[in-house]
Amino acid sequence: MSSGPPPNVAIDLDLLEKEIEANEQSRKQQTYTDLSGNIAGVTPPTRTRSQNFDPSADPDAEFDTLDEPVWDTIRRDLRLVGAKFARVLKPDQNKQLLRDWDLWGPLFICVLLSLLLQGGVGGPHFTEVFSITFFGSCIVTANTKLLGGTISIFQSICVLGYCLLPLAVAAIGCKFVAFSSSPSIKLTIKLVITAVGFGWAIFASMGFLAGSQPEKRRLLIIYPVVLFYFVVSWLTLSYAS
Amino acid sequence: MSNLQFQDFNFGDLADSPFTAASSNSGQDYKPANKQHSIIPGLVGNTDEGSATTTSGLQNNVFSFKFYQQYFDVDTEQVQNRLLNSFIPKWSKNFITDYIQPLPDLYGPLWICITLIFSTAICGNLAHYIDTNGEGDSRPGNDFSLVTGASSLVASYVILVPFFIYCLLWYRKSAIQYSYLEILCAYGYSLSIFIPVSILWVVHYQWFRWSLIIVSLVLSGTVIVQWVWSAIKTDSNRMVAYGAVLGTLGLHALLAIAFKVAYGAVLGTLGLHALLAIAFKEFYFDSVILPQGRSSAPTIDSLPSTLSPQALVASSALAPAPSSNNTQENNVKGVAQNAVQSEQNKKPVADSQVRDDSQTQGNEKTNLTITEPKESTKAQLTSSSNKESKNEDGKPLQKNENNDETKKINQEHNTTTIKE
Repeated sequence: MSSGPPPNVAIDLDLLEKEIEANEQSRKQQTYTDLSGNIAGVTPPTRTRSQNFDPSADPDAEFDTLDEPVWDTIRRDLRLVGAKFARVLKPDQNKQLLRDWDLWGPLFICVLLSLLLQGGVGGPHFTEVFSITFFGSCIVTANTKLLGGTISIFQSICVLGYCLLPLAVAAIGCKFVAFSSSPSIKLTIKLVITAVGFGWAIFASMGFLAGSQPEKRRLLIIYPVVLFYFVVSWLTLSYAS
Repeated sequence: MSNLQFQDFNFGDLADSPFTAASSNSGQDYKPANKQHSIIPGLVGNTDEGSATTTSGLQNNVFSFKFYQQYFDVDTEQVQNRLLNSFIPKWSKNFITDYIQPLPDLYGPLWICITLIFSTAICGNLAHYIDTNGEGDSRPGNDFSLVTGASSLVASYVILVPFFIYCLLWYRKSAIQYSYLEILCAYGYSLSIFIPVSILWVVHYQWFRWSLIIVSLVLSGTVIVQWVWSAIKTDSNRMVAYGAVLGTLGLHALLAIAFKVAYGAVLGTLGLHALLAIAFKEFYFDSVILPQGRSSAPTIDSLPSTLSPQALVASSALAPAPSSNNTQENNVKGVAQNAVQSEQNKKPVADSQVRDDSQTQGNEKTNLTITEPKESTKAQLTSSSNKESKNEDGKPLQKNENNDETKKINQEHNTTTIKE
């Protein structure tokens, strides 16, 4: 076939490109579960997920939030963090909230846990607990990535950090138990509280991490997460008093 | 020209291809084919050994993510296999060649070591808690140091000992030269048996603990010895061969015993820590309260006579227990177990010492008991020169050294001698 007139070729090329992009998109969505997400606070609520990344729309979004008062920014971020806390405490089907990752929540929780668990006679120092919680979640994330998980690094750290919230609540609970009755009852109550926190944390994080692992390595990825929460639970049980 | 033949490198069950990483050279000529197996497989371009990773072979930059990803290329089943076979010795089987090659993994050693560290620490604290029968809500003294200590111990064992073995095999140009990561992988997996053992160590019977150590040592040690021996048995120097095997076993035994001692050392370090805490508290407390009520000039003449028998008695037994005094019992128990508890006990004891000084003999006993543990502190912790200075007529020495503890001991014995 001889080549057609140039305008037809140009239109055909455009259509062709759009087709190729659409094919790639659908192919990508078939192989992975869609785990795309942005850092929280940047995404305006009107933007849909299926659109292509449009660079021209982004500077507008940034300028929208650049001029607002600081208090508005802080309040919006706090509200997002609070929403994620609520999401962890009541795991429901909406997984999008945790895909918009942020690291404020994990930071708050790690600092809170470290303050609660540090000190005491033979207990760990602040840095020891903070290292275990924060860098522990980093190491577990690295393990997931190395084994071929499709979740992004920051999303994984975000999820692991937020799911430490039940354990932080358990630590606060254990601190209040310390002011009551006989030792064995105290120990039993602490044990129950910590066990509930541990189970809750595992349940919340499994709900999110479930879809992102290769099938033959599920146990290999799940085990370090369980170990991580177990160690933090032991720290809570031993040192929150 | 006709006598040029292709040398067959088939050795026993390594019948795959001449280019596997464990390809044995006869040790006679150092062929460049040796370079294919390097310290770390993946840095030098190995031929594809069936690893299903990157298409560009295993030649990757150390700083890239893919370099580390190739060592985590294992499935659950593979890890389980390696785990189970690491402590089940099979006759004439080589753990490394059977299970670890062609590609060692780092997942196993990493997570086994971390699990081992925390299981040792947790069960050590649990065992200690059960031993003391949960006295009050006593928090043992150096609790968290079990974690840091265990991590240093395990990490150095898993990293250094394979390095030594690798160097030995390389230096002796042994029959089978494993790569460093393969040896590290084997060692990591061989530590896996200590995890259930450390959990079982909570049971408080010494004979049970020792039998656990022996059983675990025999099992994992046999597996290790098998692959070490098969690498080094063709060595020309038999001493090196036997020495390597014995050395490996010995190090493994040392590690197991170090774990056991770490459990027991919880008590010992607690005792020392408690003694230090008591000593510090006593000095501080005494220096504040005592000089108000009495002359603080120490009578040094009586010092050696009162000090030396006590030093001898105390140094022979860390926690002396001969007394019917309640405060003494509390004192001794607190010393042996719990710094916090003992500090709390020390306060009322010290109070009674100060306030009831002019009264009964019970206080003398209290004073003596206070000094006894301190004497043991001194006996154990200070240098021998200090001891000598006390045992002799140490007047010039004591004037020269403004030793806090000496001053405090002077004050202690001052009160004793004054009452007497």
